[in-house]
Amino acid sequence: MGSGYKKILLGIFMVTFHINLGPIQIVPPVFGWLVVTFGVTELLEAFPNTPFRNGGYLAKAILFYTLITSVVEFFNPTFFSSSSMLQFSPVIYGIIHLLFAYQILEGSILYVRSLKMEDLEKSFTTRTGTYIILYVVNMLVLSFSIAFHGSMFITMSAITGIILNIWFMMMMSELGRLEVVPSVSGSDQDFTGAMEPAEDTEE
Amino acid sequence: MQRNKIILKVGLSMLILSLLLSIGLVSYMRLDEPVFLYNFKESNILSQEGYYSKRNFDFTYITNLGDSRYVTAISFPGAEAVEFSVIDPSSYLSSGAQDRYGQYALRTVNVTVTDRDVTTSFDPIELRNGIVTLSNGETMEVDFGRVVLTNHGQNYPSVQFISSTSFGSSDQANRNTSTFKASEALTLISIESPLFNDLDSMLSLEINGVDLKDIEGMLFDKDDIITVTTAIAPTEQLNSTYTAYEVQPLLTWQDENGDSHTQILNNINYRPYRFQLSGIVKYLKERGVL
Repeated sequence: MGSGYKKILLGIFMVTFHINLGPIQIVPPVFGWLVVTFGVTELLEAFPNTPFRNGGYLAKAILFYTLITSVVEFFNPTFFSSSSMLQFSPVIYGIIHLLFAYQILEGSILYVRSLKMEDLEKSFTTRTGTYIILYVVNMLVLSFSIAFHGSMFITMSAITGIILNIWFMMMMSELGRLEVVPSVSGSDQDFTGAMEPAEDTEE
Repeated sequence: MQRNKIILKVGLSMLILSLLLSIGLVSYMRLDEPVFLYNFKESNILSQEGYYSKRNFDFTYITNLGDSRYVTAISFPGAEAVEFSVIDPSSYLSSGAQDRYGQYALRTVNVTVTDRDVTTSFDPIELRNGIVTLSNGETMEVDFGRVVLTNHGQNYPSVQFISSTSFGSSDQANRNTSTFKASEALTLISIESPLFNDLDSMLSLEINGVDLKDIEGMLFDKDDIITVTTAIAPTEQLNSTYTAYEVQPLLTWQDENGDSHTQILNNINYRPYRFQLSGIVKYLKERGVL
């Protein structure tokens, strides 16, 4: 589990702080998402559950999306600002990112529950809710500031986005450090098995 | 967990709704083609030794932010006698040549009369509707308002220039005061401008406190101080505040010997400056382009 969370942390770090040399991205976000995808696959192998599986699909979707946008932007840097529809692509990206983060956090709550750490489970549940609210508010601000070209608000929203990503990374780091007691990991499987039907009915 | 799912669902619905709203708003506010602000301008273009004549004027237009097209030429049917050259600074300055208001860009093109010597007299040339050519080859018909090119020769009366001040004030009027001293007895025969009717009450012009309509026939003794005060204050309507004005009234004087002299009053202008996104949207709606 720890290694999976560390890979997600590293991937999100690469996505958040990708280095640009002028117009050229040294490490395009696509590499960050590739690392995230590996991380989610590891999580899924160690602790299979529906949210992690969905998170895996979403990470792959973002990987594909960033791959396409990187290629397009490399050949035509103004492509996404030229059309009234395409300039909202950061919001679309944000929505998929939010869904991804939600699935990983929900899967992790199941994981924490399997470890019988009730306080931590409660804490992560609360943090997930707060994270979603802040993320949604930030995306709402971004959406309207793109519509009105409020460059100050766009910058503000980008900074808030970075802060939210750092928070997400901190949660990943915290989860990655959790010690799994062998006896608990046995009941782990039973627990997820019990959760599966409930998850499926919710879908 | 259940609670978070509800938060997510509500959040996502709000996001999708705001996204649709934003996209709708952007498509609604998008302009099909650049919109030129109206102008009521007078420009004396006669070349005359010893006198400066302003041979250029500018037109301001509103377009979508990021519009890569720029103006390459403007022609006026019926005014083929005069040649113009047009410079749109956005052709060589990618972002510095425009003011940004929300998703609109305000750009100014400079038009210069290129005939090297407009020394022969001609009837005033009226420029109203022009054909604008854009850099992608598109052409569009534009109502520029009314620009009058005049060819007044100047033959100054014997006055001594003392001072000229100009300041903008909170009522949007651009006030100008010029002070002269009469070197001999002078009579003001007439004051004329083809744009007096267009500007009507927006223009205030006083000489020594006497209003424009009573000016003709004023007498000045030798050493009298002549103070000309002018201001252009557009009406509150956006259509008026977003219009550029410039008049160059021609004063005709008669001296003691009965000789007549002419003089042009310069610097009587107003250029729109208080732009706001809400004002621009309202203006574009009034113009019927949104």
